[in-house]
This record gives sequence, C-alpha cells and structure tokens, in this order.
Amino acid sequence: MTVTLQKVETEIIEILMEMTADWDLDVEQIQPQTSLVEELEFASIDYVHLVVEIEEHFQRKLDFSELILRDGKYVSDISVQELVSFVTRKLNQD
Amino acid sequence: MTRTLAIGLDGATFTVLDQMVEELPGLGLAMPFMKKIFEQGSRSKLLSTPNPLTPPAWVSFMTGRTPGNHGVYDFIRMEEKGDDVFYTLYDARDVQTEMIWSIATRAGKKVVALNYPFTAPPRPNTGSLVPGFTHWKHLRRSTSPPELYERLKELPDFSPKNLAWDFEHEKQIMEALNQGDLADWIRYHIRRDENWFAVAKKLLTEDNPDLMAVLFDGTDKLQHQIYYYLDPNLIPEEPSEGYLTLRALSFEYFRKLDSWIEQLVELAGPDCQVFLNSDHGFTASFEVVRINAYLAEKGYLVLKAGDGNDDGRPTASWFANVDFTKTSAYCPTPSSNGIVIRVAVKSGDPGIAPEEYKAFRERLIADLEALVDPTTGERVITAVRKREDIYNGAALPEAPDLTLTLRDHGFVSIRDVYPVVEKRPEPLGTHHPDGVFLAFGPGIRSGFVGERHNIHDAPATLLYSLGLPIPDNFEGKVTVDFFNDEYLMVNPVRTGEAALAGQGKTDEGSISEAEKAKLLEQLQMLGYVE
Repeated sequence: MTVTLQKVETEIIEILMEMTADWDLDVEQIQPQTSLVEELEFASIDYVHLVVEIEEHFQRKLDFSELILRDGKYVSDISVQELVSFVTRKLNQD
Repeated sequence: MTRTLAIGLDGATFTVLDQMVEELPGLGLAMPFMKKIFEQGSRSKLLSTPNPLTPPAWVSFMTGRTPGNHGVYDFIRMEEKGDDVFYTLYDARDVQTEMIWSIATRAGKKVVALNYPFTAPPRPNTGSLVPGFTHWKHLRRSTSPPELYERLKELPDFSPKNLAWDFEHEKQIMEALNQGDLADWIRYHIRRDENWFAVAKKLLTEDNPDLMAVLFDGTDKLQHQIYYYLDPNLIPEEPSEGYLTLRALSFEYFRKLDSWIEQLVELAGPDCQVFLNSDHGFTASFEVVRINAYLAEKGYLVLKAGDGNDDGRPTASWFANVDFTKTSAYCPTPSSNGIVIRVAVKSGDPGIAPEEYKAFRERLIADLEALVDPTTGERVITAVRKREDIYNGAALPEAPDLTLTLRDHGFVSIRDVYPVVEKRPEPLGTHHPDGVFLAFGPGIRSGFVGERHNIHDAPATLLYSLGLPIPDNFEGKVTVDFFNDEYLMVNPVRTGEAALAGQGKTDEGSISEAEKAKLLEQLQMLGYVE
C-alpha cells in the first residue's frame, strides 16, 4: 500500500515535536524546511533516538546510512523534508 | 512494605571501602553506616564478568545470565559490512534474556529500578523504571511508565540534566585532569548522585515497592579519576597539600553515600533485606598499552595513509582511518580489551579465510604473549583468552575473538601512537574483576565474610529475598551463605519456570539496519572510545 508524502511528513513532524518538547528550543513550529542540527540542535545521540523512533513508528527497518552518508562522508545536517522524502521512498519500496 | 532493597555501587571495591569503615587520622570515620553493615551483615567479593565492565556486568546483574547468553559485551558493538565496520550503541533491545525487573513484575511484585544502564528504551513489564546511561534529552521518553516522569517533576529543582548522563562531562573519564578539575569532577558526581537519592527516597516513600533498586554510579566515575587519592596503597610518602585536599574531598563523596544508604535503609523499614553490590572492583593502572599500534607493528592492522595529524598519523578518530580491506585483527574499543579477527564470509571478501582461523588465532595469541616489558622481561598482557574458553551461549559469536588482561588490569589504548607501552605520569583508576556484595537485615548472618560469589548470583539472591522461585535457566545461584539457618529453613530456595527471552527484538529477531547508521562521533562522546 502506498504511503503518501503528506502522511509521512505529518507523522515525522509529530515524532519530532514529541521528542523535542522539553528541549528548550527557539523553534516555534517544526516545518519541512526545519533543519535537525541547526535548528533542532540535534547531536548524533539524538539522531540515534530519532531513527529508532521512526522505525518503531512505521514498523519497518530503514537503512538510514543512505541518508546520512553521501559519497562516503557524513552529511553535516538534514532537513525535515529530506528525512520525510527518504522515509517515504523507503516505505514505498518493495 | 518494601521487602528487598538493592543498592548498586558502581565499581565499589573493598580496597577503598575497608578504609571508609575505619577511623583515619584527619579524615575520621567516613562511612559509619557501612561499618554497621560490615559488623551486622554478610559480605563477600563479587567476581565480575570476564571483561569487568559496566555493560556486561550490570546486564548479568539484571538477568542472572553470563554475557554469552545475554549478549552484551561492551558499550558498543561493531558489525562488519563489506569493507567497512559499523558501530552501534547497545541498549535494552539488545539484551537477549529477561531482566529481574520483568521477572518480579510478572510475578506480581511492585518494582522500582533507578539508574541501571541498558534499561532503555523501556521494555514491557519493567515496573517503575528511570534508566541510567541516558542523555537528558531522552530521559522523559525512556522513563516507564510515562506518568512517572511527571511525578519526578514534583521534586524541588528537578531537572533531567541533574540525573542523566552528561556526555560532554563524562568524556573526561579517561582524560588526565588537573587537581582543580578533579575537585569539580568530585562535586559534580556528589550532586548527581544526590539527585538519584532524592528520586529513590520519593519513590520508596510514596510507592512502597516490593523491590526497590537504585544504582549510584559516582563511585565508578570518581575512582576512574581519583583512585590515586583513594587507594591507601598509593599514598605518597610525603603527600602534597593538594593531594591531601583531594583525598579529603573524595572521602566526602563516600560520607554522603553512606548517609544516602542509611536513609534508604531506614525508610525501607526494619523488615527489609538490603543488598549492596558493585559490577566490578577497582585498582590502579600504571601504564598505557597501545594495542592497535602493536597490531600494526606486527602487520595485523593497516591504516589508511595521509589522514589525521600534521605528520599524517591519525589519532583523533582512529577507527575511521583503519583500512579494513587489509586489516586482519584489531581492537575495536578500549573498554572491550578485546581483539576481533576479520574472517572472510566468502571468497574475495576482506579478512582471513575461515579454514585459516585456528592457526591464525594461535599465531596472534603468541604475538600478544610476546609483548614484554623490555626492562624486566615480564609479560605486559598476562592473559589472552579465547572466546569459547570464557563464554558460552547463543550470543557467543558476538564476543571478541580474544579477550586480554593487562598486567595492571588497565584498559588498552587503541590509538596509533608510539611507544606501544608507556608509563603513566600518575596512576589512573581501572576496573578490577573483584567487586563487592553485601547483605544486611533480618535473616542475614551477622559479621559474616564469605567466599567470592559471581555477579550473576546477585539477581538470584534478590529474587530469593522477594520470596520468588529462581528461574531454572538462571546461571546465577542464591548466595545461601549470607542467610542464617533459621531463615533458610523457613524459606527454602525454590526453582521455578524459566525466565523469558529478551524482549528487545521487535521483529525478525535480527539487528536493525538503522542501527548500523549511527554516527561515529557519538562514540567519542561516551569517553570510552578514543
């Protein structure tokens, strides 16, 4: 069954809002263009928790190394939109 | 009414505790209540896991199983994938056997467990649980049940930052600190454990759990840095004023700890049996052993050229610079004290051929045993143990191929720095296999000192104290020598149904692909990775 980009976006933003609820961030609303590191102050350990949360939420294993590794190097930041697109694509594979 | 109170003292050793129960000139009696436990209770050394380290040892404490069965060997595990090696943090989902929190909860007991590592993310039937080894940002979501976190907010000045791991702070654990930083380090851990005490006091008072368990880990953190100031055998003949000040401040932590223990025991009431244990002991390390530099010297490990420092030698992020296509053996983390042999899965893969494994391993062992002190001829690595000789169980393949014991029980360094063996400027605390186990309260023998028990015996003893049968697949045994004859007569040890498998595997029972993608930087934040 196809999973829409909109559905994934809504659910990932909900996950991020719940996760960061008490982080004392300046960000008022998480939007597609929100960046995880720059705006949500993600450290690598937070990324780990997010990956687990997304996998448990969608009940699917997703190889996130494709998202964070580009040309063998780790990316410095990821936007919510990039994350949503990646998850949507992976969920609709198979 | 609380029946069983378990107090964890991470890294506690009798080498230090013995002097805390003595009246010392200028320092007084630091732990008067511990003295009472010594006099009126039972105690023994407690042998840790083969690699005496927090993750495998506390998981053995929580499961009654050895690492070959529970599957946790280190803070992180590595998984080889083609020409690369991925690292991932262990967490509760990796524990392959059931924890006592769950066993007791399923048996209808009310359980509170605080600050134990590898209890997050929460698994089913864990009672009230606030995990240890968790960053403050994730403490709320890792606390079980969710409403418990809201109750913690009722504590005055509550902040998750005061309870959880401060990764930035903790990474100092293996660094050489000056005396001012050491004093800050001690005060930081006093404050942190005081907060855990406050949580324990609140839940013990309000919830009256059958099993109340709280782990104080300042003992470990302090000893890593200030063991030189704590071990009576290391006191200089003419100690400086700075040395004596730090020694006095380090005693202050133990004075506080004694007061927290006493208050918890009093709150638990006179009918409660109290058990205190560590996951391993402590001793002093006098030298650095750079094991990967040695493996490189011997040709087992190959580094990529032209990366790292000005001289081309990589140090900061060692594992990122290993050429895994040419490396046949390496040590993945200092805390592992282990050597991993790369074995080719199929022809053409990097690593040695499977049929060469035994001969290769024997040659490697011989090379490791040949690392000697040039002055004395003494072996630097006193034991090189094959995994099948020290572990057994379904998780055996995940163990390092070889586990090393250094002559001073130190952790190896994995940095590509020479010389391979170098004396430390001053002794640094390191783990010793002999931890502590103490019991106190009704039914406990008075003033008894027993033979050494195993870390996995402690959970069997806690279940026994709760009046529960011991699961028949437990490897640990009840430490019956701690209990008096009358108690044993009225409360015979019973064996019951097997504990369940771990509840971590959400689907397919295999390792999540996503876990392989965790960033390398997180490892450095832990401080146990160079």
